[in-house]
Amino acid sequence: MANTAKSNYNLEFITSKDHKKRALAFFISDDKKVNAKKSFNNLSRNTQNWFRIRFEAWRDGKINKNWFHGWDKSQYGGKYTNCFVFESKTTTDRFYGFLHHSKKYDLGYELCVLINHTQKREQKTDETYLKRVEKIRMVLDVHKSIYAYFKELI
Amino acid sequence: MKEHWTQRSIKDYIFKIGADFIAQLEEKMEMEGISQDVLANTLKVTKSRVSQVLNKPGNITLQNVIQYAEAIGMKVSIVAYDDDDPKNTKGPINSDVFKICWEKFGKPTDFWAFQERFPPTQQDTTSAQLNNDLKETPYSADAMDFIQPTPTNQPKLPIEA
Repeated sequence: MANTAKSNYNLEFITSKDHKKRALAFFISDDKKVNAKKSFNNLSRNTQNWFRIRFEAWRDGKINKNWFHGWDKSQYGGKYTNCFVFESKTTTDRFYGFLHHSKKYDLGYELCVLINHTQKREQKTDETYLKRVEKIRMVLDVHKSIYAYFKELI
Repeated sequence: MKEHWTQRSIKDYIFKIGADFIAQLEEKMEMEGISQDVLANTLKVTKSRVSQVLNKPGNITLQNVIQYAEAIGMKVSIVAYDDDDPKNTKGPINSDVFKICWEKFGKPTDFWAFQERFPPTQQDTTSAQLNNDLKETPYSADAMDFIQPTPTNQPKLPIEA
């Protein structure tokens, strides 16, 4: 699933990028803190399936804040309005990522790029994960890599 | 096209449709304020049994499906459909999509309801032909159009000899 020979960042699509509205992908990088894909593969099949159902529910436009949600302007001073999380039903597993408008001529299209996996210990979100996601989201080369999958130039 | 995960095994397929069903149950339970304790009492089973059924959709049986739906005042139908994806590359359509369409359509309870909305133009009352009529109807596929069709587009009633 290589993108370009030069890129250090790649995507592995979980759902087809050709969906009319939304898609999901794991972010692949040498950075050890980027662990979503590897952690997903290590989950039990039951937990993987629960997440697949939630990923597809989001892609299909279902609304369920117990399954997945973002953060609005009133939270954390509006710093993480692009961040997104998927929650497990039966375990404390969480997948953090960010939403990206990957088609410049179809701004309604959203890609959810999953970065981190964690086991949530407390009710409140650990901001560390949001910071980590946001830090990656701000890297210009990350955007270039994503756009390349959609044949968009930055 | 990459294989959909429900195509890996029947067990995965059951997990998906079982989980969609459970999501419908849980949404109704949340809406009506029905706890797992209440559900367990109604079903005369332990709370842990209820939790087991709701958390393991891969093991769900038709008997569970019917009993659990009835316990919260719902009914169940099994729907087979053709979405032009015979190899299941896209996965099953979420059962809520069918439920919402049915509700938007005015909750028809039998085939007469369809005929009232879409009177047959010939003596084509078999369900296959009725389906073709629906496909060829001049109405938009938009669900709201089904509820409020514009009178000018309405198919004419057959004239009896």
